[in-house]
Amino acid sequence: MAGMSGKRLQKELAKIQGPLPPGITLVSATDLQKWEMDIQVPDNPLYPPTETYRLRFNFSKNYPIEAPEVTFLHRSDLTPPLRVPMHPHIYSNGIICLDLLDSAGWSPVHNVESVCISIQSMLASNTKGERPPGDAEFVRSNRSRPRDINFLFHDPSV
Amino acid sequence: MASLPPRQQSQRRTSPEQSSDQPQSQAPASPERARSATSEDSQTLFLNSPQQDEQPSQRQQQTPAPAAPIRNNDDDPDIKKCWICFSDSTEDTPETSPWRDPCPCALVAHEECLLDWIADMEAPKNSRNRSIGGPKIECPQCKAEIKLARPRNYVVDAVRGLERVGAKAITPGALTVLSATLYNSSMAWGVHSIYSVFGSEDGFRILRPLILNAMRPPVETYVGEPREALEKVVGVLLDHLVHWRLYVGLPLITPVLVLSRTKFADSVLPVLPILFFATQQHLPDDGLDFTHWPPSASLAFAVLPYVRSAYNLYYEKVWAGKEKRWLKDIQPRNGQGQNDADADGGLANLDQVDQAGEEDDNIFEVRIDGGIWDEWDEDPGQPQPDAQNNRAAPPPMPQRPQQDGEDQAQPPPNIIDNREAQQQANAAPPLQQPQQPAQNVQQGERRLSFSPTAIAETVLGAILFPTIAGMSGELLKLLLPRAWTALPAASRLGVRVPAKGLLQEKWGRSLVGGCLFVVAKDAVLLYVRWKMAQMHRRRRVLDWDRRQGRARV
Repeated sequence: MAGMSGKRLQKELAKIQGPLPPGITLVSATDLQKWEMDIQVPDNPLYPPTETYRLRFNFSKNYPIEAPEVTFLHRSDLTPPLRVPMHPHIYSNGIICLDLLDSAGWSPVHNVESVCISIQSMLASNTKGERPPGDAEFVRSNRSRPRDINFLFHDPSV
Repeated sequence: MASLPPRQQSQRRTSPEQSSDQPQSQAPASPERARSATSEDSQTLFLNSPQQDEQPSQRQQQTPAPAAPIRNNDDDPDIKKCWICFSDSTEDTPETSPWRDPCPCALVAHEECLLDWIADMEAPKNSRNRSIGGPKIECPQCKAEIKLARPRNYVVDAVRGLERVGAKAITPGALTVLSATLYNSSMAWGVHSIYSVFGSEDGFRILRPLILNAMRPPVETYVGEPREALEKVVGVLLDHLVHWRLYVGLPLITPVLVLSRTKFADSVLPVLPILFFATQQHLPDDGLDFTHWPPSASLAFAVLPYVRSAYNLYYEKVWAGKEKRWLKDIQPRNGQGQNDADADGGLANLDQVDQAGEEDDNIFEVRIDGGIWDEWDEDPGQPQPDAQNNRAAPPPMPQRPQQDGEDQAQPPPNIIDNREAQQQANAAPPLQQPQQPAQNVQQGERRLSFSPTAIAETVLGAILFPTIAGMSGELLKLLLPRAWTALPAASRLGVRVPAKGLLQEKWGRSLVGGCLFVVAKDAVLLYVRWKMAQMHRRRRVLDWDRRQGRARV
């Protein structure tokens, strides 16, 4: 049912036009397969409340059965420039290591809004302002899309 | 500001209960949304707030729509919302698949959506997990299992069941193959050891049952004749049982050889002869006959651990102290010698080999279990029932190879221990002098070198010892006068006469040869150490000859 993604995305889009939790805003969804959402992190000294991080959602034809690809955008040409937040599970190229986004942890019961909330709370509860180990190497040598990377989820404390 | 795709009008209206899928307005959270509950059905759409210009026109083309249609639908408990495609039951067309409610929680979904999702869950995402039967499909919210009714096809079930069984059997199968390989190679080396110690004739006598069985055709070739196959199988089993000492003992030779070079052997070996003698049930002639010379083979090998311990003791008392001193002399003079692991690495090995030699001397490690010995001894002319042979203890088995290996193995642990112990003895009151092998072992292996080279050296030395001993035996045969080493003349007539001296049997020669080899090696190494210590003191550094541009001679 390949048309499912289009229909569902439209519904989600419609819903997202409505009130959203604080700190989450829709940036653009011109292309139904690629959305951009802005999030802000309240209450964490590591992330200033004024700083906005932008998430890009890439949907495939099999959404919602297949998880969307969610990455942080990094744009230095904008003002203010878009940065990737410092987190032990977020690589500096914007790739997020979150079990929810992996095929094992995703289920269609989630939606864009719930993913944004999860990422927001992942940032809000973080205490270590550092990159994952092996970040430089990963960024330099990675060629695969996030969905093809076999992440090892082993750190439940962050 | 968000840019929205053009709103599409929903075309899927079939029932009067039409909830509009109209995208909602960008209305902020103002309560301006006029949601009246007074319309005749809650599905009617209300006019939107006047903020959106385009929408009113759209809406006017349809039946009046609620300001927040989806919200209305959400709030309505009678409307089902598929949690996979997010469509409402209000949007059902004749083609929509039926709704299903497979779990206790409130989630419902279309059947097609559910099947799609389940197919994705069951698909092998990583090749490791395939065909194990698949994970259980659980509802993401309440975790209850979602059950499916599949049509049964027995062929499919049978094949999948076979796949599952096959997948589970891989690990045990691989382990079996691995252990069979190890068993066979140990067995082969054990056969080699026996031959090198006992020579060709005696070796063949010992191994005859094994050799006959080794080349029999495998049982599968008899599949066509079931009765014969059964006979063969039973025959093979019986044969294995009868000659179990061969099948169990031979492969054990190699690992016990190696293990005997570890410190465990010291405490175990001296106990084994006692076990051996205690369990020997036939004492007729050879067994425990201490008074006749030459001793029987079993007796000779059984005594080896004691000889070994005695030799160890002797070495400790007489030579170990001096050797340590000589070694220390070669070290830099700040007395760090013994603790300098790197520098001592090589020396430690030397030491190990040293003491190994000295201790090994009299213990020849070929490990033959008593049963084999009994059979062999009786072959010459005393056909005794095999049952008696079977009762000779396994302890001799572990004993023998251990003896060998032990001899050689003991040096490494012993030497290290000795050095450690002796160093302390030098520093502390000589009360620590007791260097019994047992005590050495108990003092712990503080510096047993774990380098792969050392381990390889130990292992190889242990494994090769039977061969070395055999060759030393041959050397003895060359060197010693013929009268000592040749069997009595009558044997040439075909009648086998018991040997009159230890050296007349090949195994006796190998035994003595091995012991002498160890003694000789130890002696040579001690001499080398001593000499090195001497020469060490006489070194000089040469001046550079400035006039002639070379070292002054």
